[in-house]
Amino acid sequence: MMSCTEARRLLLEVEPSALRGDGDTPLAIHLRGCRSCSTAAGVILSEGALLDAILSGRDAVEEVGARVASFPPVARNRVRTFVPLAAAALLAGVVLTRFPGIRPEPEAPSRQIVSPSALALVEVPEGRNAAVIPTSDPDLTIVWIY
Amino acid sequence: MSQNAAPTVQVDPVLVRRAREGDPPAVEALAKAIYPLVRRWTLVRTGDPFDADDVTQEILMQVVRKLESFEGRSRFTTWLYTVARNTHLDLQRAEHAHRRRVDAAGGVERSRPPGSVDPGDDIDRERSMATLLRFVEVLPPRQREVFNLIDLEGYSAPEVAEMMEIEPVSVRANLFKARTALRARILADASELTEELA
Repeated sequence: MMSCTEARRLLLEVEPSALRGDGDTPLAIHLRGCRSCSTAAGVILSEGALLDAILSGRDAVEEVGARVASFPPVARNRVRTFVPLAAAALLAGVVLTRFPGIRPEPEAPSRQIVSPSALALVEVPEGRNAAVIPTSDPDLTIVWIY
Repeated sequence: MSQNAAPTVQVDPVLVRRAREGDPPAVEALAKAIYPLVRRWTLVRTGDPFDADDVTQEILMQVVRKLESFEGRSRFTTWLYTVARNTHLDLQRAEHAHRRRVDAAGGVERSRPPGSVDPGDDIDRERSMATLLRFVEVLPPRQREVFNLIDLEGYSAPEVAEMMEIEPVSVRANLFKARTALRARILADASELTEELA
């Protein structure tokens, strides 16, 4: 049986799939039987999911919730407790504000309405083309003349 | 930490070919398609949403200018990453040179014009930056890039080596350092909670 000390060392190094307790490796077996270490693995996974969501601009709560479903059985219960408690303030900031500065190009139809109105405000020189790229900021649209 | 088994963004090769041929709607569609990806990469590299916006725009312009040079020998995202990285490096060099000139002249330059940020957004933005700041504080830029590309975006180590123009062994070394440092910090920050729950 792997010790918690050894498991904690491995948690810092292993592939993400190993954090989920996939397979029958000594670490996976340990995680299934140790609440403390599975909690630690779940914290690492949930923080990774949150960072990924922030970088890509996806809705952080939905993303973390979906990812938590794939955590190892013991960790899943812990992380479901962890997210509301530990990350409450953090997630509230990320989720409620939706991090306006780093959201990806929205797909909502309302944003596409911006394009013609933005172009209407810009005089495109003859022989040139313009591309309208909505940004994360509703007040900012990139009109790219090339 | 990664939850992605494959790269998160695939760019349609037909769209790339039409854009290369100068088809305006294709150029626009390509720019829209790559915008989130380029924005993500620049955010990882700069660690600052404002800087990432500026750099992303410059990269998009460079992509269109250089699109003809993409010969299809590598994956488009690999070529795109190289353009993005080189453009950012050029901008950094120019910025450093500019700063040296300003410093030499004894001038003080304000990095952002007053009023460029809505004060009402500041508190929300600060909260949202917490996780991003830890990522930036704990890891140096190269480790951030490797960690993002492999553990978050799902690229393989050989692919990242090609994208970043470094040796695969260096990619793996950076990944190991990044994982260890970031996860240790995450667990340290959450130590009270994990002990309480365990």
